[in-house]
Amino acid sequence: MKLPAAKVLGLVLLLAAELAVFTALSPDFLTSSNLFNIMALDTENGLIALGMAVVIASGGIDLSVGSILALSSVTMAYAVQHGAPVLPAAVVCLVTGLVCGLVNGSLVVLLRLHPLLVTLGTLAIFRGLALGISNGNGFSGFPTSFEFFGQTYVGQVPAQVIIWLLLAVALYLVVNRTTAGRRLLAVGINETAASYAGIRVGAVRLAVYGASGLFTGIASLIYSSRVFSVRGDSGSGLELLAIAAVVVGGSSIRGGEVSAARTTLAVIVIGVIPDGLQLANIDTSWQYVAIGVVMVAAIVINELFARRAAAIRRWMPWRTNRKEDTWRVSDTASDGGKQLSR
Amino acid sequence: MSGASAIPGMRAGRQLRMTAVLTHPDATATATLVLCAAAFAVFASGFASVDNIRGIVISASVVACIGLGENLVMMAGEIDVSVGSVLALAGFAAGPVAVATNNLWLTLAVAVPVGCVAGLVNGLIVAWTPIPSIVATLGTLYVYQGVALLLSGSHNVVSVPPAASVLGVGSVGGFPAPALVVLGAFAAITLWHRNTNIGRDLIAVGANRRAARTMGVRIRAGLMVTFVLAGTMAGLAAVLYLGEVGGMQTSVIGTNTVLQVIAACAIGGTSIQGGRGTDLAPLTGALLIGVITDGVVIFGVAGVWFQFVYGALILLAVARDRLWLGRR
Repeated sequence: MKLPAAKVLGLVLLLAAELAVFTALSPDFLTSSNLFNIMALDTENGLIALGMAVVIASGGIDLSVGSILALSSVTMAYAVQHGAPVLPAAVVCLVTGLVCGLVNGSLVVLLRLHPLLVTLGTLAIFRGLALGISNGNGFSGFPTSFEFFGQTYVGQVPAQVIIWLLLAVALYLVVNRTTAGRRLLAVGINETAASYAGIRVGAVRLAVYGASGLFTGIASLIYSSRVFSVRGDSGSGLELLAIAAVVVGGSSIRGGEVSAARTTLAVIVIGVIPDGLQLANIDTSWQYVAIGVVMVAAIVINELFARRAAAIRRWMPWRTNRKEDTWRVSDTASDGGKQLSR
Repeated sequence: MSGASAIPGMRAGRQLRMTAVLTHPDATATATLVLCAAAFAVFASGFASVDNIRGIVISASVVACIGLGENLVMMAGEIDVSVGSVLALAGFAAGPVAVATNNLWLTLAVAVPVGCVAGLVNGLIVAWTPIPSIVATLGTLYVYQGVALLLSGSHNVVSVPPAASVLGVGSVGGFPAPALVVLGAFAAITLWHRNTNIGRDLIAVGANRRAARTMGVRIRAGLMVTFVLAGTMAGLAAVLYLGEVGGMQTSVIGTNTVLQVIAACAIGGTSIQGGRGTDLAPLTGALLIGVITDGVVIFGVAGVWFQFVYGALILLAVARDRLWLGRR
């Protein structure tokens, strides 16, 4: 079995187990309306996690996404307040997200600081801008046409879920079918080797954080439209949830691999927990414990499948050892892979 | 450990020592702290008063206390993002005890072991499984956060009685008690760092793990001890917090604390990639954050813009070596 396929199987099994437990606990859980509702609520985290997956694949990390979500929604509200129609305001939201991401990227490239520290700083800066521009006030005076972005349904399916899945497919295509995707993974696997191979590492970095910002901007637009209000303090804690999704999806936190499908599955695996607990009338404080346990379970399952895949391959000498399948496993085996980053 | 680059043979002796001193992480961090404090003392009236500086020291003590443990984890090349949740967990475990018994020792006897066990769980996962520490502690962050919420029953701990809050609000000969606790912990950790095998090898574990293993350094033991210390210091910090604030709010259960702690260690000069750092780093870093917070407030920056200025200054403080010395 190929390693990536094994990881998808692990996630599907985990999701099936969750669905079985929650269906047993509450008859209202396994209804199409509830499942679509879960998907709609997960869309924002799903989009942010896609951006985060790209950043992590390049060997970086982005802690500022929660603040970018707040800032881009606040600038959009500012535009609406000053008479902008809905569509230009939505563009403002996306552009703000993109610009924030590019700021992160240029700081990472120019200062040559660890991205954890850079985005820790911009987390406070973007949050501060959001609070400053909104003057600490909430805003909910959008025209009703603004509902379009987060409350439209195609049949029974929420429109944002379709957008989410389309963007996941787009990301899959970019990563797996374009040179840009190969460059991204090359930088994530070995930055020095990538630069010797003629890849402009700085440009890749810039693009990666820009993408994360843009995805967060889209999430911000959908989120603001869904809850139909904007606050400068929204979105805190989103960064950890997005990182958790990427990790549960089985991507290495050290970079070099990205999977749109697994990240999306992982967002759903995490996303059904609060909903299931709520329908089963269990104290929602348990959701944090459950998320932590699911994270560890997913990592252990991935690890087991990864070892099994490597062991199986060892007994199949006729099968070519494809480098991208094996190097990560042998790397963790030989040095424990304990460095946070290269 | 100064990271001074190779200097051509012409320059030697005193000049070389001078370079080593000037580029030492403690030196640039302290210089930044002094510069910042001096600037605020000149331009922000009321900054340079004894009461104000006392306030800064007290408010910085919780971050400094947690930072002392986190700093060791970072030196070993790992990271512990769960310490904020451990603070909340220990606080909500020990808070009701403090309120019910008004006994400092009982409070400590609950908070510190809770932190210790939380750190032990982190250490076990990181040392014995191939799961990277940022992922492992992200998982336990959620678990501890959930347990803390369950313990709290969504109610804040309020009005911790005076005898149990001595470590937060008391003073000895005019020196605030939390600062003395932090200094005591700093002395203990420095002694441990210099006088035990595991402590002395810690930097090697962070700098080059493969080389360290080849040299016979006990890596697993080192990792276990640093994570246990990080949890324990977060447990101790919970007692300081309960004393200073007089309670524990469910809003503490967030990610703000751990981000401040990591920022403090990094500002103090400890490398987030491991292998470079000093024991003093979390103290200077936490103080610098405290000075910036206080100075920005005194400057009368409108409340809503506070976090913007704060973030910009934090970023400058972290980037100072790159910007001023231009070294890699």
